[in-house]
Amino acid sequence: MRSNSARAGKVFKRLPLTAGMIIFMLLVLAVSAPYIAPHDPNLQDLSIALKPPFWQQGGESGYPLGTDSLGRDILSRIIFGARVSVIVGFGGMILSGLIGTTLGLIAGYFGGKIDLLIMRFTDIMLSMPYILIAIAIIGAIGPSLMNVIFVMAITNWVSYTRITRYEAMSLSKLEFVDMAKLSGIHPAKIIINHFVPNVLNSVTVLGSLDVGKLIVFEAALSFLGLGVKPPTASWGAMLADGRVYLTVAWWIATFPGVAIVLTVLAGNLLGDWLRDELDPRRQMKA
Amino acid sequence: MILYLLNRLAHSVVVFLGVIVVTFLIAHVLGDPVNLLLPPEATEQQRAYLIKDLGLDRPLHIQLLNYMANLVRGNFGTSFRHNRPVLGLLIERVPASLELALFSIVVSLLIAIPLGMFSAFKRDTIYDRIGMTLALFGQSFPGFWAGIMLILLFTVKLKWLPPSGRGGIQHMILPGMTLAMFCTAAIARLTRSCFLDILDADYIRMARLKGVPEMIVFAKHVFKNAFVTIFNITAIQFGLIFGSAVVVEYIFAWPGLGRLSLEAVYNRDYPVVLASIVTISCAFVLLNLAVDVVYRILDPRVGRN
Repeated sequence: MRSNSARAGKVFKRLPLTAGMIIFMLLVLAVSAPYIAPHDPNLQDLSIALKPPFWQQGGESGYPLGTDSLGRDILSRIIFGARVSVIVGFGGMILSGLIGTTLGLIAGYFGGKIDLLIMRFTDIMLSMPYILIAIAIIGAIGPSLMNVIFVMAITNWVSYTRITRYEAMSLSKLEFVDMAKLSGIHPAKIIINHFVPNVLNSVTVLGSLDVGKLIVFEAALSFLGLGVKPPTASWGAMLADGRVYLTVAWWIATFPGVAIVLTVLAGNLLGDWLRDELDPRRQMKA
Repeated sequence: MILYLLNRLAHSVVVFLGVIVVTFLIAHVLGDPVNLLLPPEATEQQRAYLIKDLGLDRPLHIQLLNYMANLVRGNFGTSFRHNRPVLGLLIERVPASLELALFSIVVSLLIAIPLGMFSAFKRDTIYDRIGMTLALFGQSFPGFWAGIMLILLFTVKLKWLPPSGRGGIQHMILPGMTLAMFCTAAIARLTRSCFLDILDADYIRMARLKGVPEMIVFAKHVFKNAFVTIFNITAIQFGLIFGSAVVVEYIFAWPGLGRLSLEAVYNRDYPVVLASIVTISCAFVLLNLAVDVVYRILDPRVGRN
């Protein structure tokens, strides 16, 4: 397990090129959105509504990817949408990771009845349709950025619990942990000082894979009108707008979708590559 | 084996009861049906009457037990919106969802297994690369966007297929393809890696060294071993399709369980939302149970540790 963790630390230095570039782009867009977006993403101007992208008849180079039904610039909205995606992706990952890791470490450290209880709870969560639960909760508490992150935390923590519990269990069998327990150190202190550093690598790997998944999750929620509040630009909400105008303006739904697909693609590439890197059989052959 | 079955069954029952408790608690935190059912100008007396009628004046655990007892009797409550028993709505909608999920999984298997096997046998050739790149893209298309793009192509541009509704096979193609896209990719990739693992395994080399004819190596060793893994992922994917069809059913106006529950969320029709969650979870639990049992029968190694 130790060698596995050490490898996980090293692998980030050899990130696959395509995935790395897409993720880098996404972060740059999110951070510098106000400086690089050509227009205000929420500026409505009905006189230029439904302009096609620049290479089509009637398109303008000032609005390279066209405008939506309210005359808002699609490109600018995609750039600002990256912000929402990044905030939600990382926010949801961190919050669910914190909850899941805490539960997993507690289960693995104490074992016995506490472990059984927490693990049954993960079984229960895994058998429930998480999309439907998220939709139901947002439907009741209302759509907003914070609420989206909140439902992500509720529905996404299970995988962190499973992985950290397993690692914590093997750790708590080690001698130094027994020594620490015997010398009367508070469990919380043992967990924070000795367990957290040891599980950090696998949690990071899991977290990096989760961000892409959560970005799609947000897009799906916004698509159903249960994500961030309009007029905030979000890729999913743009798709929902575009769906209505599909017969007259193909570009509104197409471009934000491309942004989502590229993000998911980066996540999948990263996932494949991490799996290969961490596969012990492959390591033996190498 | 019998001991294992009983044990596994008990576990499923515990999980399912847990699902009901969690769902019930979520509903309890989320919604106060009294405010939803009564107009704002209702008198205190009317409110009190409704609270008593719905049993909301009793302690929470009694309400929970009542809810469970009703579930056992097939009573999922009454829909606020449709004003009729939820069970009837479920019976109407579940077949549509099952039909769509079955169609998608069959389509996926027909494409994914040959593709995955072909990639594995032609390992590291250009065909393998193309196949797996396609699969990677397939896995990266979120259903809601893929669905819209399919409508754009086949309905708006080509005018071949209807965009929504349920009817003949032509209605099933677009939503079916959308749902199938992700799991085709997932199954194809798994089939490939599973065949690669098996072809690499010592017992296959041994069989070949012994001079067992290729046909028999494949029939007896390769396919038999691959079947277990592919069966497993197929069942999981089927569960995922059934549970996550909400968005696809919404896009294509497919009258299934997903669309029913989404409309119920929009209308705050909590009995229907609850019943949908419980139904889908029940399907998951049963599916997992079936997979574990079949797995145990097919692969005797599983039981030993």
